[in-house]
Amino acid sequence: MNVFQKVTLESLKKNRTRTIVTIIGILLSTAMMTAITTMVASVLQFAYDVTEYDAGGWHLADTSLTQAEAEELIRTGEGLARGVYAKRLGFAHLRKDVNTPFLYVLDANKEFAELSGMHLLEGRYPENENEIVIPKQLENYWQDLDWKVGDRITLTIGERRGPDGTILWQDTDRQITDSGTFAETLENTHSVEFTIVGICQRQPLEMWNGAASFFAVLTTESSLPAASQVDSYYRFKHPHDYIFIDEEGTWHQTFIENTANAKSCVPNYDLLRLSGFASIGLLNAIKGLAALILIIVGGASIALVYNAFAISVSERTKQFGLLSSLGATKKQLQKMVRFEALAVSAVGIPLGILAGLFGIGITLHFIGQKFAAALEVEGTGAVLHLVISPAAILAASVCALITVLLSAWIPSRKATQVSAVEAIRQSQDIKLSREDVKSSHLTMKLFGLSGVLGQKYYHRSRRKYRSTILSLFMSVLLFVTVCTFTDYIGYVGDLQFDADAYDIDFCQYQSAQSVIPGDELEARIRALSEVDAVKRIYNVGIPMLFSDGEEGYFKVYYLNEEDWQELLEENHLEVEPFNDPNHLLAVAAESPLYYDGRQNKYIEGSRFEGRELWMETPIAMYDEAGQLCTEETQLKIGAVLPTLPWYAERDVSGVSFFYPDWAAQMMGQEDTLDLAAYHIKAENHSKAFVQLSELSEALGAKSYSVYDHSQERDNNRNLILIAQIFSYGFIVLITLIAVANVFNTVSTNIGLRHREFAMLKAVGMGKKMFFQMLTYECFLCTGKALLYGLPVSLLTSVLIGKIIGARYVISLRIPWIAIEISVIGIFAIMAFTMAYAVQKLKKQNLIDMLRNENT
Amino acid sequence: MEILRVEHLKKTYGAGDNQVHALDDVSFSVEQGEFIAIIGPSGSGKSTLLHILGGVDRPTEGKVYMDGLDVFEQNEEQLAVFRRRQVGLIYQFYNLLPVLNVEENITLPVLMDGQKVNRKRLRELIQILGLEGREKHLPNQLSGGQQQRVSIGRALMNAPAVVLADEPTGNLDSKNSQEIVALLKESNRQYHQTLIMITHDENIALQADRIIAIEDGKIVRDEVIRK
Repeated sequence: MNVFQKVTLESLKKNRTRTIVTIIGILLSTAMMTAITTMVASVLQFAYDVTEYDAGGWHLADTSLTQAEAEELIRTGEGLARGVYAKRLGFAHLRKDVNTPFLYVLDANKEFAELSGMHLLEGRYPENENEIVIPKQLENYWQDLDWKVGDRITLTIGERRGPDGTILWQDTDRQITDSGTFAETLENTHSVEFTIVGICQRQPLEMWNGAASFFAVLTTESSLPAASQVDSYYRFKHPHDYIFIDEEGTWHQTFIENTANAKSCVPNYDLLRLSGFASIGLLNAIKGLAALILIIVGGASIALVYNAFAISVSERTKQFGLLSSLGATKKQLQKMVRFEALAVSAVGIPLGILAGLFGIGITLHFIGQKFAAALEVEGTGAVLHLVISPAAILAASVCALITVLLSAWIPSRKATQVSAVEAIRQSQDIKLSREDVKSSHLTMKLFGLSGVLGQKYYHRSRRKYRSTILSLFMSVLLFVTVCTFTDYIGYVGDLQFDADAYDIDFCQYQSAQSVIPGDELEARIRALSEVDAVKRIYNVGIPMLFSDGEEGYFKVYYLNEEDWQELLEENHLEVEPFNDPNHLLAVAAESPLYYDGRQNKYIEGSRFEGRELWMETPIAMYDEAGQLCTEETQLKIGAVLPTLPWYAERDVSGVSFFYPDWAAQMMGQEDTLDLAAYHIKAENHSKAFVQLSELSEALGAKSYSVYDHSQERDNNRNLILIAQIFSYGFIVLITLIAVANVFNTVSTNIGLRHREFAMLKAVGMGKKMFFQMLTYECFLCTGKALLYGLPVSLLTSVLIGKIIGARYVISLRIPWIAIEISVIGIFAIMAFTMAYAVQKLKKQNLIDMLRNENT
Repeated sequence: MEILRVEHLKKTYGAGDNQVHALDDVSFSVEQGEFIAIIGPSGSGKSTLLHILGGVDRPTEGKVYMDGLDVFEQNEEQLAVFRRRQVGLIYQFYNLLPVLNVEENITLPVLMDGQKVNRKRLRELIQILGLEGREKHLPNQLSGGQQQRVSIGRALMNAPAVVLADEPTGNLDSKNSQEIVALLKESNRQYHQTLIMITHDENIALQADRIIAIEDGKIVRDEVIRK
């Protein structure tokens, strides 16, 4: 180590506080950069895990090889991680009718199932030719199938033959005649009895759109005749070995040479795209966003680190001048500054990487699960977890290092610009003009001498304070902007996902018969331990017309006697007017948000706005004799409630209407009363959901459906929460960087003036005056930051409002609290820093300061 | 042997009405081994002259030849090396590096050159300067007089062509002052070290071989007082 390096290191040690603060700044920015790159790596891995589960872990699938060829490839394929194949036993009808799918019967083992993307959900894989595994999706399509593990079924398996006698496979749609009968036949059939031993996820490659589809079922070691060709799947150690995309975007594979045609050999597009093949728009967007944030962080860090080095250089001006006079070249001096940069980086960057990994690790530990839940991919078992990617760490380190070196660049040049002569003399590098230190008379009158001095000092150090002001400005701006953003998305989230609403929907299918009478069902639901409240609901959607011509579709509820009374009483409405059959009145209830189809936006406010509504089907009102007396088409509304009752559906129409149940007939909606839905409130909605699902199964699974709205609300809440967590995390770190910057600048600035302060004290300035002087100076600095920061922040808030406004029309929200916090915050930062610096000054002996040279 | 020649040196600062002629056509020459004292009132240009001689500041006009070399024909790089090896600077306010110890401060020009330190010479100097036992001390652990000695050591370490001293005793009490001057005279005598010293103190000036008086940037007196 040469003497320049030694001098640099010793100087760093001497100014311990500033060195530590600089290291902290570098640490923070490296941590943030590491966090960003690691997050990207983790999210990519998560996306890959999810896709691998959904699409299967294979890279190439083929349908035209013979069993011998497939076995050969599997045995000899270089770079093959896994290869599996399934023998095709044929097809079986589920039912004779044209609209139900075929079963595609395969003979394979567990490895095949796993690699091809069939995941076992219940039971086990088949162990002999009379056991079979069926896909879960079967039961979703045909409710009356109701196959369970342990059931015995008989399948007639055969070859599909088209009208011209050719054998048809999965790639050929069902052949149907114009009159709607089968144009294909099943030949060479064998009848086999199977026991269902397991239920799995369907195979991703099946064609399964609608009724005209096939479902692969799995058995093993069958003695039935199999087709000569097999379905084979391959996974490579390095997919790039055998798969590539040409310039025109066409995919090519070189593993299977003798495949029949392009369609018979298919790469796993979804999975491969996440392994570095063609780019996906969304992932590119994520990478782009990450890059943008990296640049912002880099910018903030450069401000801090630049400042730290600028201070260091200006403090060591005398040192540089001395060295220069003794014969150091400009290059040697510049190297000193760069060495300083490398020295602090050597400590700051590794610590920063550890901090970043640690921070993301902990964050993901807590929200990793929530992320999967929010994206509704919990079934895949993939969890967003910390992925320590060397590439990510390297990228972050390089970015951080570049940031530091860039920051040190200009100060290193400044180090050599001070001439040796000036440096050696006691006159410092402060060039003043009369303009600089002019102060106004107003200041003198209002604040006295201390104010005047404070102002002069501020003006003198204007340049030094520039970066402080910039840091504070940026902090205020970022803080207010992010607070606005999170506030908006939180508010919109609350509007859309109403916490007061009921949690679970228990409905009857229209086609099914009611198994038990409504009263009994309601009682049984109420009896469940996790159910807090239940309401039986009859509602229907009715198209209506506004008085100005706008069309709408609104929900109308018919409440039974008890509920109707309850509604009226709770809202302090007079009972009589609402119970007059000659003068039918509705109770309207508005929701805070509605969807306007014309503008394609969600709007906060009243859709009504006092307009009148007409219905297409008139309300018929009969007198006592049963004669039709009037027909009204206008909806008469007796009261408008500001919120929907808890048991009403939350839809986007903006308003719903409530009538007593006897109004249904008058409105021509009698059949509505045949179909009930049960809206349930439950605090422990997940547990209640389980209980209700069990009840539905017990009653006959295909008659009722249970849906957990709260789950959806929770998922969306989670997404918003995650966005907020990351946003706030980001602000905190940026603010810390700003604080470090301010601390450095201000404390050094004060430290440099210790001789002058000593002189002031010696001449007779009292403590109070001294304090006032510093306060005034500090006030000017933060004042300026706020002067720029607040208007720009308000501007960005309005901008964010406009961006949100493209989709959600809500009133402008100004984050007053955030603004207050930021104002108080930066004053606090300044005050604390000044206090610290002054504290240090107090410790020094007055006379020593005035006289001593070598401190 | 002529070691230093100064020709028509001019140095001006500022412009127009504010123009200051710090040095106005100064010419003289110095033989090797001479001990010269430069005296004059404040603001006369003494320090400016010294800094130019030391290659620290550039003249507006004129030439300086050190050991036959045209000093200011060199570029920045060469000038820096020149300062390291050919010139020794001693200041009134010591100007040591507070983060280096005594040894390191003395050998600083050598270290900057990347050369190996001649330990024998270092030991010799330390002994002459009376700094034994304090080699590893930092400047703030030394008295004013001791710090100045370190300064002298630094100036002498590379055996430069000329040692330039700007009021070396200005910050010291009378006893220390005398010791410092004695040391300088000793090095002048023993090593034939050419020494040019600026001073206010008449007593010290009278200890030199030759006195040059400067006033308003011009030489007004150039007297050899001792052979």
